[in-house]
Amino acid sequence: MKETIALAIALFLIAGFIILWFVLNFHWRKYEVSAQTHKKFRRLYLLPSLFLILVMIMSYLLKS
Amino acid sequence: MIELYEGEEMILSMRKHWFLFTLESIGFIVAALLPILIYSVGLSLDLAFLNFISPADSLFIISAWLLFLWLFFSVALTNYYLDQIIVTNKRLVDIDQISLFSRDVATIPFDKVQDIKVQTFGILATLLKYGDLHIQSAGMSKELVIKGLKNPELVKEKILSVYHRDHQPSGPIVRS
Repeated sequence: MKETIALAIALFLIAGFIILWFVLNFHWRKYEVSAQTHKKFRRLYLLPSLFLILVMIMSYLLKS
Repeated sequence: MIELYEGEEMILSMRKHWFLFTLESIGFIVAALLPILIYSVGLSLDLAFLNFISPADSLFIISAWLLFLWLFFSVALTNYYLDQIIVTNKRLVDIDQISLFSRDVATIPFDKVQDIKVQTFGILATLLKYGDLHIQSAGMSKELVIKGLKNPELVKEKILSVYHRDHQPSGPIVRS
């Protein structure tokens, strides 16, 4: 039961991360954030998110 | 950003003051520290639920919570960054990014501007130079208010200098 809830939370957050990645990119491009700022924003969004997703997956695998 | 007309030049682009975004971010920082706070309070009160949480469980909860906050913070940062005013040599454009899919863009040509007022409230606003800019224009029943703008005096000066440059009499006035 606990593992199913954890899996649901993890999948929900990963889906949110992917959807938001497209939405934010759409906004940055549509409202003409400069190419350099766009790159900075992408890195700022991506790196901590991927790190946290990795930690989340590792801890989930450790649990099960 | 915006599409400029022929012969139009961008003079200034300004965002809300960074201090206001920092204030907004404090909520995220407090929320990020919440698991540590709950854990330390739980330890000091010797709560039973801590016995059922393994280190892997707590790592999962903390990383999921931080990821959740990080996604919201990214949206807040995008909203802050896309919310700006642009002063060109012909008009003022106020872009109000309310949320991701909610955007309000107001344009005021300078020949319609009737009054500009700057309001600064408090010590922090005075020291950090941020405040509200009120613009009354012909044809608008309510004035346009741009809140928490960085250096509103500078924006006011730029608008007035462009306005006076374009509305100067072409020759000297001769009085008899």
